[in-house]
Amino acid sequence: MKFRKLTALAGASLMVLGACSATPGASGGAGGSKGTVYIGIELPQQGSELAASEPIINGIKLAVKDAGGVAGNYKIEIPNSVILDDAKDGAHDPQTGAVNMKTLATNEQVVGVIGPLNSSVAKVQIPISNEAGLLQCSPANTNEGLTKPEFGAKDVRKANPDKINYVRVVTTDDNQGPAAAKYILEVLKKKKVYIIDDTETFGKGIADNFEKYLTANGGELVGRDGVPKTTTDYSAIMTAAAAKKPEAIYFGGVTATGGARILKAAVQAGLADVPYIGPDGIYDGSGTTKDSFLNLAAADAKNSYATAAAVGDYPGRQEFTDKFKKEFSKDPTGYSATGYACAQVVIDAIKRAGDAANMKELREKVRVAAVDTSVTYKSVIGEFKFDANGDTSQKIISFYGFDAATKDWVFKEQLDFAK
Amino acid sequence: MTVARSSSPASAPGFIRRFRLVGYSLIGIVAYFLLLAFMLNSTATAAQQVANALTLGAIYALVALGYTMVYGIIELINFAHGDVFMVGSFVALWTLTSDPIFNVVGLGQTGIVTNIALLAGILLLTFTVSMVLMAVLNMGIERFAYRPLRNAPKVAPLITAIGVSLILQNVIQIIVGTGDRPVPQLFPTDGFQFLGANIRYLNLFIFLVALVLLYGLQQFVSRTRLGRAMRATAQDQQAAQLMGVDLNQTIAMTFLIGGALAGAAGVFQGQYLGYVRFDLGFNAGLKAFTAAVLGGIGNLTGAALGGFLIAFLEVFAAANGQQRWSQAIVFVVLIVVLVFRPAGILGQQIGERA
Amino acid sequence: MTGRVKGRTSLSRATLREFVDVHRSTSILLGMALVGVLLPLIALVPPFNIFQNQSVWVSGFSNAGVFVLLALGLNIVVGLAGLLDLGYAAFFAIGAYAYAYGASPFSGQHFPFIVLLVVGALVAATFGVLLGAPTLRLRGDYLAIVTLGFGEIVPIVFLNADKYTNGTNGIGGVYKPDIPFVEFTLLNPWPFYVLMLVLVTIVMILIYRLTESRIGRAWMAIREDELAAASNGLNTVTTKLMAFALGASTAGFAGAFNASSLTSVDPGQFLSTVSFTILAMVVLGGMGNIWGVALGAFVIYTVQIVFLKQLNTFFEGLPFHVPVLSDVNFVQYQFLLYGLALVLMMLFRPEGLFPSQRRKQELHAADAADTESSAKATMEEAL
Repeated sequence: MKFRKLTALAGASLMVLGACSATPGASGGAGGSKGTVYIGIELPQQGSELAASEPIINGIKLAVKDAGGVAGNYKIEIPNSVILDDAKDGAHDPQTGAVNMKTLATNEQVVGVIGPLNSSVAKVQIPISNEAGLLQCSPANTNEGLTKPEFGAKDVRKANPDKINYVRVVTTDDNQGPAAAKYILEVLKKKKVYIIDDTETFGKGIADNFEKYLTANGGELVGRDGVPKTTTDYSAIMTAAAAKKPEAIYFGGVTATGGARILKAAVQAGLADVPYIGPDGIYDGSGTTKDSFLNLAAADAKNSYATAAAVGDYPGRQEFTDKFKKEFSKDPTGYSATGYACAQVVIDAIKRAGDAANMKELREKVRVAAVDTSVTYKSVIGEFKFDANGDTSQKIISFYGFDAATKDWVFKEQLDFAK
Repeated sequence: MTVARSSSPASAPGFIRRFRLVGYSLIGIVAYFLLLAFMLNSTATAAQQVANALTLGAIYALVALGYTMVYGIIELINFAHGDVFMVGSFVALWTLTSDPIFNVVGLGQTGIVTNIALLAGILLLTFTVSMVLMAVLNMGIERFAYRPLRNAPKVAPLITAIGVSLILQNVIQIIVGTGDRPVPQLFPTDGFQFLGANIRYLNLFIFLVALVLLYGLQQFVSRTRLGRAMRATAQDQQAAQLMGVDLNQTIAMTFLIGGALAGAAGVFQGQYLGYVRFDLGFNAGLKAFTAAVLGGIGNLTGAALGGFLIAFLEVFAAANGQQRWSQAIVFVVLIVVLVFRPAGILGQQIGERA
Repeated sequence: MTGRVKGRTSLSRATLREFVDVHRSTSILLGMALVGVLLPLIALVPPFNIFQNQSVWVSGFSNAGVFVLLALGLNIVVGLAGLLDLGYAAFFAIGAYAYAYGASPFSGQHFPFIVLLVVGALVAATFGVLLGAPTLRLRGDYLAIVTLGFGEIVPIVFLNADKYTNGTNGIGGVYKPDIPFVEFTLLNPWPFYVLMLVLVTIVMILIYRLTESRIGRAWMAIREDELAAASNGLNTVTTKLMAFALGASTAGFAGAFNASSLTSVDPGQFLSTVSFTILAMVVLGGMGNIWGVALGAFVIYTVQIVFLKQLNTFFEGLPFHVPVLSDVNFVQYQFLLYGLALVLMMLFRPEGLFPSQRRKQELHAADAADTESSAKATMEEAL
C-alpha cells in the first residue's frame, strides 16, 4: 500500500529517464494532431494522506512532462478537473472514491486513471472502472483481493471479469506480509512473535498473511489482537503482549491507525529492546516529516523495521531524485517513483494503441495495450510485465531499518519473490 | 454525597455508606486482581493491569463527573464535555512545550524532569492553566449555547451540545491538524515494584490526585453554601429559586467545576498516553458518559465508580487479547444496565420528570 | 377540511396551498415528478454545468436520494415523535448488510431487488423493535445514549464477526438492482435516478399519510407532552416503538438501495459521523416537515459533495491569490459548518429552514409559555 521516502542509497544509474518506452518506434506524425486526452488522478488529498499523495501527483506530472506532453498522435494533459480527492474529514473515503470514479468514467477524454492510494477505495472503484473499460493504474495498492481471483477479485471486477483494466506497479500483501515474517525468522533470528493489527482492510490483511507464513515456517505466534484506530489507551494491550514475552512485534497497519502509539506503549510496557516490524504503512518519511511514524515515535523507534512493497534499489534512482528535486524543490518518495511508473504505463499504452476513430474506441485500445501480458515495460523503477490479473512481475519487497544518526530509515536489503 | 435527589445530607448513615462503598471497592479490586491473576496465570501481569485500570479509571471518573453534575442540575447530556476535556489536553500540551501557537510561549519542556521541586512546579502551573481555561470555556459554552435554551424542549439543547462538540473538535483540528501531537513525558519511566509489577510513579500520581479531586468535590458539594445550592437546584429548580438560590450562578458554577475537572483530566491524559489528538474527546466523552449513566446519573460517587468500572471492563478485554471487542462490550453492558436498572448502580429509581 | 379546489384560472398561492392541503398524496406525486424533471435540467445550465457534466450530477442526485430517505426516516423518530436517535446509521448498516446477504456472491444468494428492499426494511425494523422495546420506557435522553451505543456496537460487530460478514473487507460484488426491462449499469446514472425518485416518492407519501393519521397525531402528542398523552390513555411505549421501528425500517430501506448502487458494503461506511450528518440534515431542514427535511438532506449532501470541493478547485485555479479563501480547505470545514449550523439553528431558528407549522408553534411556545394549550390541542386531535 504505501511506500514513501527513499533515503540515501549508493547506486549509480545507467538509465535515461523519459526514454523508457517499450515500443521502439512510436508512430511518426506531429504530436497532438489527433486531439487531447487526459490522464485522471484519484488520490486522497487531505490530512496526513496528502503527505503521501502530493509526491505521487508530482511524479505523474513529471512523467508527462518528460514525455513532452504527447503520446503518439495525442496530446496529454492533466487539468485540475481530473485530479480528484477521495478524502472526507481528513481521511480516505470509499464512497467518495466511488463518486469520483464515476466522474472520471463519464469524462470521455480520460483514457487512464492513476490511483487510488488505499485498497479499500480501490475495492469500490474497480467495479466502476471495469464496467467502463477504463484503464486504472495504482501506484500504491497492495491488497491481494483486488487482482487475484483466488482472493475474490472476480467479484470485484464483476462486469467483465476477464477484461483486466486495473493494474498496479507494486506487489501484493501476500508477498509483503510473508517477507516480513521471513526477515524476522532468518535475518533477525527471532521466533516468538506478537501480532497486532488495526482491524482495517490493509492492516488486517497483511497481518493475516504474515501470520500464515510465520506459523508455517517454524515461527511461534504468542498472541494477537486487533486495535481499531479509535483506541486511545494502549497500555493494557501492550502489558498483555509483554506478558507473552515476545521476541518481536509485528504491526499490521499504518501510522494514522496507531503505528507509533502502539510502539510507544510497548516501550512503556518494557518491550523497548524487542524489534518492532511494520509494513510500508509505517515507512512514511524521516523523523523530520510531520506526522510520520519516525517523527511520532522519536527515540522509541530505535528497534523499528519496515517493509516496502516496491523496489528500493533500482538503477537510475539517483538521477530520478535529482531531477525530481530540481523540478519541485522537494525530495521524491518511493511513491513518486511508482506514480511516475504508472504514468509511463499509461503513456506507453496510448502510444501503442495508435489512432482511434473516437475517444471511446481509444479508451478501449489503451486498456488492451496496457494490460498486454507480452509487453515489457522499461520504467523508472526497472523492467516489469503485467500478469493475467494485472499484477506486476516485479515482486520485490525492500527492508528498511531505523538509523539513529540520520533519524531516518536506511535500506537494508531486498527480497525478490519473482525468483 | 449525591448531587441529585439525595434525601440525606452528610449524616451518620452517609458516613457508614461511604465506608461501606470503600470496602466494597477494595473487595472488588482484589477480586478483579485474583480473577486476572488466575486467567493470565501471572500475578505480576495482573497487578500491572490493575494499575493500568485504576489510572485509566481515574481519568474517566474525572470526565464523568462533569457529565453527571450537568445532568443532575439541568438534565442535559452535555455532549461537548468530552471535547472540553480534549481541548484541556491541548492547553496542557501548549503550556508544557514551546510551540508558539497563538504566540504563547510555554515552558519549553521536552522530556523527563528529574528535579522533584521543578516537576511539582511545572505540574502545578500546567494544572492551573488548563483547569482555569477549561472552567472558563465550559462556563462560556453554558452561557452562550445552553442558557438561552433553558426553557426550550429537551431535544433543542441536546442538539446544540452536539453542535458545540463538533465546533470544538474541528477548531482544534484546523489549528493542529489530524495527526497525533506528542506530549513531553515529565515522569521517569521507572517506578516501584509491587507484586512483581513495575508500577510507574505517574500511575500512582494520577490515581492519587484524582482521588483528592474527587474527595474535594464531595466536600464542596456537601459542605459549602454553593454546594447546597447545587443540590437544591438539582432537586427542584423552582423551589430552589424560591428559597433564594441564584439559578444562573449555581448552574454556571456547576459548569465551572466540571470544566476544571476536565482540564485536570486533560493534563493526565497527555502525560499518560504520551500524545493528544483532536478526536480523543469524542471517545473519551462516550466512555465517561457511559460511566456516569452506569453509576447512576446525577450521582457523584456513582460517576466516579462508573468511570473505574468502565476502565476495568476495557482493561479486562485488552488483557485477554480482545481489544477489538472492548468498545462493544462497554456499550452492551451500558444497555443491559439501563434496561434492568435504569437508575444505575448507585442511583435511585426515579420516573421521567415531565 | 372540507375545502375543494375551485376551477380558478389564476393559480394564486392560496389556491395552491388549498390544493396541497386537500390532495396531499397527489401533490407529493406531482411535486416529485416536477423535481425529477427539473433537477437534470438544472444540471445543464450555468453555473451548474461548469462544475461537472450532467450524468455526474444525476448520479450525485441518486446518492443524495439515499440521504433524503435517511433524513425522512430519522425525521419520524426525532421530528415527529421527539425521540433523539444518535445511532441511526446502525439501521442503515443493517439494511445494507441484509441486502448484501440476499444478493451477492459472498452468500451465493440472489433474491430479487424489490423483495430485498422490503426485507432490508423489515430486518432493520426488527432490530429497531428489539432495541426499542426495552429502552423506550426509559426517560427520553437515555434513549439518546442507548442509540449512540448501538450505533457504535453494530459496525464493531460487522467488523469483528469476520466469518459471517467478511470483516473489514466487507462484502463486495453485491448485485445491482434487477428490475425487468431496465438495465442497471454503474455508468448509466439514469435508471438509478428514476428508481430513487420512485422510492423517495413512495416513502414520502407513506410518511405523509402516517403523519396525518391517528398514530401521527399520537406521536405529536407524545412529543409535546408525554405525561399528558399517557394520562389521556395513550399507550406511549407502543406509540414510541412504532415511530422507532418505522424510522429504522426507512434506514434499512435506504441501506438496501445503497448497497445495490455502491455494489459493496463494509463496516467503515456506517460510522457515527453518518448519524450526525443525518441529524444535521433533519435539524436544518426543519424537524417534522417532510418537504423541509427532504430539501435539507438534499441541499446538505450536494453542498458537501459538490460545492465544497469545487470551491477549492475554483480558488486554486484562479490566476491570482485571494486572501484566506485560497488557503482554506473548504471540505475540511464541513463538520465545523455543521456544528455552527446546529448551534445557530437551535438558538435562532429552532424550527429549521423549512419548518412545519406545528413544530414552529411548539418550539416558540417556550418563549410564550403556552406549551400546555398547544399540547392540549394536539391531544384532542389524537384522541
